[in-house]
Amino acid sequence: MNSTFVLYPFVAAVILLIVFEEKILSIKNIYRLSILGCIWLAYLTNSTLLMSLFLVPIEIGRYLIGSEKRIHWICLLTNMLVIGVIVLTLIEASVLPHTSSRLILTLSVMAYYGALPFYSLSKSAVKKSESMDMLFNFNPLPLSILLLWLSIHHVHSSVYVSDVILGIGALNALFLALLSYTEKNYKTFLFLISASTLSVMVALTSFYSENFLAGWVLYYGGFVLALAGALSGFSFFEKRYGSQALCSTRGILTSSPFIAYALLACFLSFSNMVLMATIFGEDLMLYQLFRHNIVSAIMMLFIYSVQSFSCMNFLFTKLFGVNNNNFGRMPIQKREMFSIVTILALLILSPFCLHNYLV
Amino acid sequence: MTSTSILQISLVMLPVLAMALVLPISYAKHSENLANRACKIVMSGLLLGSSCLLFFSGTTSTASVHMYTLYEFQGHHFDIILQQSRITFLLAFFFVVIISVTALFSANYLHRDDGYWRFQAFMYVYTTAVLVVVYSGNLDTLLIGWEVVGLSSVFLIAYYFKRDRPVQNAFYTLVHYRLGGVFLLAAIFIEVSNIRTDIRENFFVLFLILAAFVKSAQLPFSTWLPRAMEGPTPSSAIFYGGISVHLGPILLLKHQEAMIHAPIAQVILGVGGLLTAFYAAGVGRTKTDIKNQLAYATMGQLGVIYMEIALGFYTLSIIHIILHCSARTFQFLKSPSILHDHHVLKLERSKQYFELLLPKKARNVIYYLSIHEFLLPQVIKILITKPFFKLVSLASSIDRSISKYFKAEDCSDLQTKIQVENSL
Repeated sequence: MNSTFVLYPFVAAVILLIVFEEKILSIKNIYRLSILGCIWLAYLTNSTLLMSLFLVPIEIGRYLIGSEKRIHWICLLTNMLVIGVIVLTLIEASVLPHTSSRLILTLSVMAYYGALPFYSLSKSAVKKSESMDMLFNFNPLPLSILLLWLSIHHVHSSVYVSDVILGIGALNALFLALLSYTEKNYKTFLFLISASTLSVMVALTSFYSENFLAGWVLYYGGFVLALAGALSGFSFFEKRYGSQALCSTRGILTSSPFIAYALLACFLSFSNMVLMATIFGEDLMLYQLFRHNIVSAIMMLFIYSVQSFSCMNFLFTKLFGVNNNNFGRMPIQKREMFSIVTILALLILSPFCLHNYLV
Repeated sequence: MTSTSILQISLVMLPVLAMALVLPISYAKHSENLANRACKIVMSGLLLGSSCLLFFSGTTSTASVHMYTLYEFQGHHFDIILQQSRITFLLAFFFVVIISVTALFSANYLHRDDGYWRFQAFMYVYTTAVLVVVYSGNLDTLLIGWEVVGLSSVFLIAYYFKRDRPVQNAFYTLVHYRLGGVFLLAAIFIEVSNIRTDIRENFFVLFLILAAFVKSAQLPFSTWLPRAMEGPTPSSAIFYGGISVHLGPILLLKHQEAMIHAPIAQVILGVGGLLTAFYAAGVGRTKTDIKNQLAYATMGQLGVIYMEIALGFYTLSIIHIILHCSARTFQFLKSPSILHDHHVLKLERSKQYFELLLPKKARNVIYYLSIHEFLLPQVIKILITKPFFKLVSLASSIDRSISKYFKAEDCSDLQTKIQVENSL
């Protein structure tokens, strides 16, 4: 597995967005680039301790640029706690018994990307942050999951703890998936559905501390980042040109709304876990789960179904204008063109892109 | 790779290539003629290719040809495997004939329609997906085609998306298709699980049956089929009269060897088919529009096909599929001119009804139940839809309480949430 490959879509999305930013040398952009550098360095150094320490400037930076200081303050404290636990575990400090340590570690990582009750705060922060900042709300995810995977090798615990972790992860995933069903905001929806999926991943990674699971989660993290970029790109264009501009010459000239919509549809369709499992390799994880614990596997299938329903509900709302939306205002001919573009993207581009992730 | 395999892959790829290369050009020129000509060439190519496979491949026994390994990890292979057998080639040829007829019909039917190119695009996609399902040699490959068939079908139900109703019905259908996909995925996983062999065989076939039942609108998943009639007539013909609903029996026929070892599942299959046949016969007679009547008639015949499979009459079921598919496609394509036929042909209906044999009280009860679809929509609403939305509502209220406690969301957001919950 080439871990740096995970960063490619992220880098592409950042560069794309920075190009469209009015002030390239703004404080935010410098911060964003420095985050990118930190993550890359973390991967390159291949040191778990350094990786966890790199999270500190990222979190402080997120706090400094956050528009909602109060919310970010709470998030910052939570995240620092997570980093603290990770560091303690890594240096094998005998502060906590091993069993508790593993439980706390996993729960902390869940909290890190917005588990109960922290999701509510993070969700609000995502909604209120700028479109581009959304990317940076997601960026530490693969890193934190990788850290989790590395950390659990240091902690051996009982089956009981693993079951607790799996149960909490599943409950959290179900809750977030249900919540996303009524969500109409792009950014918040993406946050909820990704957090739900990642909750399952983290729980399973912790449950089966196997190499391939963590690797898969890492791939998935990269995938989420790429799609966060696409979605963020769409929000960016919408914000800059206005929703009406999607139909204007300028909007069409850049063709980005079409691409953004196509990518969105692509993402949502592949968030349909059934189709994604076929092409993306999720079945690797579920195969293992079915072999070991069939009840948990059925529970996971149920969660995936709910996630899938949420995704398709969102897609239909946005595509066909059941409720008011921007796409509904587009002329009919452009919608026709979009449908063709979408289905092309779905069928031709995606399997090749995903295949590259896997090989 | 043999010439047969190359031809199979070419046939699968041809419609998608046509969609990618010709449709954008014809759309840009706004030329229906170009699209029509391309469609005729593609369909001719498919007919020629599939007939060559059927008559000249020389295949006498079933063979699975490994084409490509998408990935391989810790003993698990995700392989693309094609099946080569006389039955496979026959079904593929037959489906191509049905699709070609419908494509020719749609050229006139949708002339100057806003969604002409959209229909063409989805028809090409659908053709590819159907061929993938028919040619598939393992469940992993089949699942790809299975899901794409569902997606293209749902997008065509929402063809007239300016109205709310088709969109709502498309979503309703999509939810069912997803459910079917989950069943199929569960079957794949159970196949490789470590549970006891006898239990595994039964559960594997049971999940296959559930997936097939969803696709073929059998009880208790039958409510989506009448709602799917919102699409244009050619799409109804090709999806719900012709090919799509028959993919369920084909899935089971592909796994007939596994079915022999699962007697419990076979009983469930037979009973399910029988109940659906009775249900569809009753409800179909109370419907007043032709497409709904045809939908229920299709459902009933599929119930009979499933009974045949449960009883082990596999060859009979294949013949039944082919004949039923042809007849039903014809009926669906003729449905727009039903009033014209009624007046011109002056068809006289038989007065000998089977239900007259029943006592009047029983007839009234059956009529009441039939007109209310045996209360199935209400049961689904009470057992599935309402609990689901209650869970959604519960999640939203917990979220709202937390947000309110931390004052994380402003009042307008909360107001929107409350409105959404009220609408649910």
